Amino acid sequence: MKNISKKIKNNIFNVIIWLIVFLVNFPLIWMLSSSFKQRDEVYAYPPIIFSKDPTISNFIELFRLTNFERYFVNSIIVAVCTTLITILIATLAAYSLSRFKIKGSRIISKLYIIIYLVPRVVLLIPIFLIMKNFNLTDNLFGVVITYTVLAFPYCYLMLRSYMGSISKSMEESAMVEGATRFGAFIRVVLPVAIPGIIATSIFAVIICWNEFLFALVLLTSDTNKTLTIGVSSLLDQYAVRSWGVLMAAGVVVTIPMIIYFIIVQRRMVIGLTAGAIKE
Amino acid sequence: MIRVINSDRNLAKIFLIPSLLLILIFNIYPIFYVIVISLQDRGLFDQTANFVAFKNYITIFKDSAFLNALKNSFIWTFSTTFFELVIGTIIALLLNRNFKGRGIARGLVLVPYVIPAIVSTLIWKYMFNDLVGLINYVLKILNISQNPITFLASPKLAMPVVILVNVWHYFPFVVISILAALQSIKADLFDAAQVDGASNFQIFRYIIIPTIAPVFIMVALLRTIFNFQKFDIIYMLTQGGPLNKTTTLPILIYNQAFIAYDISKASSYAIVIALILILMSSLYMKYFDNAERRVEE
Repeated sequence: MKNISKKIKNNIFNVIIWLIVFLVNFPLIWMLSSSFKQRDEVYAYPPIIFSKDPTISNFIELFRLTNFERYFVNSIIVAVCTTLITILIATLAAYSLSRFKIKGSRIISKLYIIIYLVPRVVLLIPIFLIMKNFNLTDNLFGVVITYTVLAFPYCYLMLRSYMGSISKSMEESAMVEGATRFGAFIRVVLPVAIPGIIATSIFAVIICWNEFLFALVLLTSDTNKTLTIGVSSLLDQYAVRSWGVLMAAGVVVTIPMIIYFIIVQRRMVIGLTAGAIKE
Repeated sequence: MIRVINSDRNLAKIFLIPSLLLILIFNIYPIFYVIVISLQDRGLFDQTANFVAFKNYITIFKDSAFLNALKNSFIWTFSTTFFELVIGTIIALLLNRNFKGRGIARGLVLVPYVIPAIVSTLIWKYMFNDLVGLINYVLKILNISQNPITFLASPKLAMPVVILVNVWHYFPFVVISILAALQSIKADLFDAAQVDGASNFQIFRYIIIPTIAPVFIMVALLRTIFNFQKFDIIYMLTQGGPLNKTTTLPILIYNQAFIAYDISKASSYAIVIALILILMSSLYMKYFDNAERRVEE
């Protein structure tokens, strides 16, 4: 008797949990199914969940009739450049501050932690004015610099703790065998740090792919827009005409994030198992 | 050249130069710059400006736009954070039990957090649409409302809808954090408790609550700090409307600086936000320090 009531309880629990999973993901299922609907199916009443005659015409219209392709390329350029620059600067800073004690390194350490807490709205107006002075408004390079500023504190903090966990004995033995400190950094420390660097790059990429406020302020002409502000301007133009096209845009914006997560996840596991050097 | 690089001290300095330049030019200088602008009377495209001392700050508390945004910011911050925490914790507790497909369920619950905010906005704007939106259809067949509701244009409903979208997007952050804490409880602790005849309630009260409490407080503070600064989801959904009902402080700053071109007033608002955030962050730091000290003792 007790077993049966336990079974019923478990079944009720299972129903509840999968119902929650379904409800949480329903908006995404709805977006995906709507992006493949025929034009009249998007406006059908009562609504249709899955198209009877799936089509990719929404995606074709998205790329042919709008500047979406441009936004997409811009976002990739910004994300790749920002991530590379930020990781380079943050890796150097993290290595320097985790290994050497020089004059002022304590204050600099503190400073880099405090800037993590500076709110973006405080930087918004001065950064806009600085970029305007350098003629870098409505320019992707200006956006890359700005995003480097936004991503640096996160990347530095992550890399700092990662560098701190790498044993000094490896680079010391390399130096005993005649390597310079710089050579030891390039050939011994960096390869071991790769998993940490990859994990950190996720943060930089996410910040770039999602950022909205600074892009809105810095970029004005349509051909310079990144995905977030580009799609948001499509929303203003297309909401009356075609929700199918907008849902297709949503799908395309999401795909690179998912691919990136899958690739990075696998590489992270390889990195962790390959480098058994962490103490 | 090689000798310079060989010297550790020089290497340490050279490695710090790029980050120091970045921080000094784009973080430290802007902080002083924004303070200076807030003491002036300056338009966005002005080359020169008058110094007006604290005039912008003195008028702030009689400024109805500011007071409205401050009120909205508090409503927004506390309700989103509250619902994120409640929903996130309940789902984390459910996902901590043993059941078939637990790994898949955990992965799927995190999806909203992974997708870009612009995509969340797109989907929910579609679902809440008055003409073709699914939600209006459901309300109709459930006989709750016969006429389509224009959610995002309604002064009463816009704020709750924006809150709902933000909660949907960010509750997985709470789930991840609480689940991590729950995972740290060793299984034999539950077994021992059950052998000793502890009831489910007692296990919850004496094992689960003490384990997740520190994480819960930390997440609550973090989410409060983040939500207080939130701009994108609100702006993309309503642009602060209707009738400024969803204009929070960050949106007011944007409007004041880049629509009304009054960067001095906008800067004084930004300083006030920063002060409120410093207060919240210091609470966070203090709590962190206390927690660390307790671990050390």
